Amino acid sequence: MDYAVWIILFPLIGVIVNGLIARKWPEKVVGWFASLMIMASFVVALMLTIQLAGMDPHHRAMEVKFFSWISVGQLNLDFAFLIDPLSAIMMLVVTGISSLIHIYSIGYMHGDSRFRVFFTYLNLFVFFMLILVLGNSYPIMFIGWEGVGLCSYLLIGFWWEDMQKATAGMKAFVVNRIGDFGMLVAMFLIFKHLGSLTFSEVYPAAAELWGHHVDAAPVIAITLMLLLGAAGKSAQFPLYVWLPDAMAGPTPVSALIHAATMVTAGVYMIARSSMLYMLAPTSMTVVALVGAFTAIFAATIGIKQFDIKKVLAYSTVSQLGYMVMATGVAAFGAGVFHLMTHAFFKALLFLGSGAVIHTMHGALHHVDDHHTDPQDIRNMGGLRKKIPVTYWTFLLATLAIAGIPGFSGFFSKDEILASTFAHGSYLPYALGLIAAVITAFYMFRLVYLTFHGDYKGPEGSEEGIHESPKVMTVPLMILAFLSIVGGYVGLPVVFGEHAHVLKGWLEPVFEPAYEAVHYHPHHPSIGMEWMLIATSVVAALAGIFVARNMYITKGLVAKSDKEQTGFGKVLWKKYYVDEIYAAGVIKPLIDGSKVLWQKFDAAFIDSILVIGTAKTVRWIGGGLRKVQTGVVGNYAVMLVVGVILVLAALLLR
Amino acid sequence: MFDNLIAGMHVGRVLPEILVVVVAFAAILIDIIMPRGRSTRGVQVVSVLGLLMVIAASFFQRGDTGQAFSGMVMIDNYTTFFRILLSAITLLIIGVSERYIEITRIRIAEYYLMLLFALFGMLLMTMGQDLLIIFLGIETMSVSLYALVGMTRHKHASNEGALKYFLLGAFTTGFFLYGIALVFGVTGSTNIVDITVFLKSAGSETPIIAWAGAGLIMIAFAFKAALVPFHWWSPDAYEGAPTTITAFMSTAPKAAAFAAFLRVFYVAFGSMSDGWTMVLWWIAVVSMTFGNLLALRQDSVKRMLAFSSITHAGYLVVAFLTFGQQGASAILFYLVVYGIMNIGAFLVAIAVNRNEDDDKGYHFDDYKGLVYRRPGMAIAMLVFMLSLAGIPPTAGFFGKYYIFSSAVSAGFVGLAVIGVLNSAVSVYYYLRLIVNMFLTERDEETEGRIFWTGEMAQVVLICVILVLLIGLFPDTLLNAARASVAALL
Repeated sequence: MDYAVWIILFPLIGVIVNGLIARKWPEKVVGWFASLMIMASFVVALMLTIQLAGMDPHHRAMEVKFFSWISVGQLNLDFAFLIDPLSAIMMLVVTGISSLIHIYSIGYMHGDSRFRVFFTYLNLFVFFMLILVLGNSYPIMFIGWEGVGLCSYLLIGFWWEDMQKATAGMKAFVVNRIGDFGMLVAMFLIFKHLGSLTFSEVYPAAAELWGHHVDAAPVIAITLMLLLGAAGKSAQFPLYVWLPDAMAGPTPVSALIHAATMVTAGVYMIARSSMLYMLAPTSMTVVALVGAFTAIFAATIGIKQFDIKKVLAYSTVSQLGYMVMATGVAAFGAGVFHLMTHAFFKALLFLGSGAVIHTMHGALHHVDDHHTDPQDIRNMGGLRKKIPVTYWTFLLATLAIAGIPGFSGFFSKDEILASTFAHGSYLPYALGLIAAVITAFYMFRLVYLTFHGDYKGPEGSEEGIHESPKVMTVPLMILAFLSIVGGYVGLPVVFGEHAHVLKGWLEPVFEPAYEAVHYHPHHPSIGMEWMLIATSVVAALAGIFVARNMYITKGLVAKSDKEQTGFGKVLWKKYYVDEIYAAGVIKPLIDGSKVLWQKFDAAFIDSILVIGTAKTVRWIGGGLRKVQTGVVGNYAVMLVVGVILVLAALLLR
Repeated sequence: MFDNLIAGMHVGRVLPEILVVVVAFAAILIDIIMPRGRSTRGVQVVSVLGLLMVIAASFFQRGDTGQAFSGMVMIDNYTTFFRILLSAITLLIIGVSERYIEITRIRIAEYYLMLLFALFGMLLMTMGQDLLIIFLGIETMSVSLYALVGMTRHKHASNEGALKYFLLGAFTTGFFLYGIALVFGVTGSTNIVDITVFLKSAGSETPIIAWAGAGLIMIAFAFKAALVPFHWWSPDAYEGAPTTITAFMSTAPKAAAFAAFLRVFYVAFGSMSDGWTMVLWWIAVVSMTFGNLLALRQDSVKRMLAFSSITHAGYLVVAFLTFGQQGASAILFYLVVYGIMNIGAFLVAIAVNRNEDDDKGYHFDDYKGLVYRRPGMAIAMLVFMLSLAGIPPTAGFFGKYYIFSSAVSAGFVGLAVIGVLNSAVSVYYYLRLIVNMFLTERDEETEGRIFWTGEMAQVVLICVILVLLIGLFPDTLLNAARASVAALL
């Protein structure tokens, strides 16, 4: 077990070597060194998982203690990892996908002047992400939580040519702080009521304290605050606004951090805290509704976006909504299942879009066109023949996300919908089903507009479109393979009782939570299961059919910005949420601070510094009487007001 | 009889304080004896060595606890903690001052003398067990600070700040004395032990005069700690003072004020906590919020740090009003952490500042692309900013964590929520600097010469290491803080 520490040491070595030592190393060496470190980490994760699998299913959890971290009064924390089936899935996904994306980045970032810095940040991200998923207590999780936030922020703003990107990074960080606020308050409350922050102590204590009367006020408060934290990190309504903007970062970053790993941290955290959520059914309902609403809300926005990465960004928000919804109906395993399959196909979609953007960039450069947006799907079309590998892998991922049977996304999404239905949460189920139709529609709209039809870019630029290098296409193929087979670890019940390997694997993690409140996960009957599957498939096909009808059969061309009208415009403008935030939150804050600044500071500080300085000169000249009476007088008056307030409060208690 | 008197004084217990005074006078003598031009060096060396001795003396003297001077002062673990903290802060500031006062044309030994006298005053404040000793300490410290703020005599802002600080400070001195008089009138003593006994036995019958006295004393402490609405002097004084002194003022005197504040209110007025926690609740809220909103709009890093120090004092009050061991130890912990990270941040600010004589100095723009000019400096500043913002794994995170956690444990959930929200807002302005350093291109126009000395590099490095070390292994310091407040409660 002692070798477990190597899982985080390898990325850390990568950070140190690339950050400090590798100044003179050639690009290739830097990139491959960073990738090798992550692959080594993946091997360690694999070994740990195999060791875990060899253990008795009911005692399948290992705590690996590195050192005693904090020991103060009641608070005793070890710096330790908890390796159990849940964290095993997470570490495999994180290190596995990271390895592929690191390799892809060697090609994608080729020639960038800050190549080395990019890989340093990327390795640092993996380091913190592993701390997040492996930590055995909330504070350790929180260290990873903040660390990945910082890396994400540095990587979003990685290309600063325009200030917009730095601003996007800032937005991500500030919005996330609202979520972190929830996390912190939840931690304080957990410690206050349960006297510990280590997972293995908190959950039994919670079961003991609240097991007999669920929905106690403290546990509702704790779980809602945790939900706020999850909403910030996992981009749930209304804190999702940072994620679409975060797409300003390099595409591998979008794929790794803003699709496959970091943004799923919230889902992981809720699944990890399953015990607390089971003890607070009210919070569960809120979680399910937030998730379902986010799923459909973001999906509708996705219909009307033209930036290839924005479509995928809203799609990510929507899919995260599904995962959160799953945890809200006590189907934690289904949420984690979707988290895993989503990591495969969404990473693939982003990397594919990166390949498209990469080549569009080159094509536009070819004809010296610096005005056309290489990410706007209205300038693409017909790329299918030019970049077949990208096209086919992208199509496979699209089939997976749309929920076509046989592809990974189908199994996980169907399980979420079936569990939601069986749980009796019909409203979330209905929202989720509609969102599934919309998902299939906008994804195929994206495929049709990008790869089918005629090329709509500037004349002559066509010749500049080439397939990406091997170092980029091979990761695409591996991910495409995973997007297909990744779902077979979780076959529906109709294929037999034990067909769902993943469920059996995760069971020991969620079992105590179910037992604490005597909850038995609802299973739909076989007939019902078939019917739900059929409904999902029809939903997916309907979405694809409409998209095909519009963009292939009728050959509709997407409207330009000026032609947007009616509800379409509302969707295109993303429900004006950014504008609402700007007018409702940011502007009042800025104005308020401006008023404070002008009224108080300008009156009492600036005027003294500027005008008062002149007076000081006179004072130095000798006119003590004229000096400052007015101004220091003001201070004194304010001080006396304070004195009166304090004394009045004390004396008139 | 005379022998008894001497023995009762326990002079050995105040050895560190005596040392400070000796060093101060040695410094001034050296300035007079040594030839002009070389004297600064001599004074610097003597002060640094002297302060190292003070720290060593405080450390080795820690076993010999008890009263001294017939109960006027109390030497306990609590005193030792602050002795070391305050001497160490003074040492760090003096350590980097030599070249700085040269370029700012201060260059006089009084600078050292005043810093050492301020330290002496602060030490009196932390050990005083009699309101009059605490008063003496506050005044010694304040008078030295007035002089230090106005030390750059050729700068208007410096004079301006010093004068205002002095006038308002004198005003507050009146409140403090009047408070002592009222408390004396009720209890018949100025000794904290006697006052405690009297007020405890009075219980709910505590006369209203005592409440008025406690209120006035609280106001005086709030003034020294720069809490809203008694903070009016601080932006001017912080802005006008030489920046090393700003770094000093925002850390050491604040720590000393809280040290005395804690002793007086947790011990002497402990039985009246129901009343004063309520007042402090509001002071905490307005301090955190007001300081933040003002810091948000600053374009000068020096002003930003000055305003945000009001916010940080607000966090300390949150822990203060929990009136318990957890809260008190959180305060001590945070004072150390804040001292380290703030001094580090101010030193980098001094280094990057384009023009010391320009009132428009310390601009955020000066930091554009700093990571490409001075990567080490930028990374150090990144660590300080993250720590000030309270992001793990830095010391600042644990500081805030213990403060708000103590508030929740004591039942002040609402206040903790306001505090955590405020610290979320504060991220914005700390982040602005990080954006400029790491995510902005170099701008030749705003780049100035970097003022960087070996001493500054050493101190900044020490601060970075401590911030990270405390962030990763917080319990050593926290246990020390807990042991220290145990003497108090």
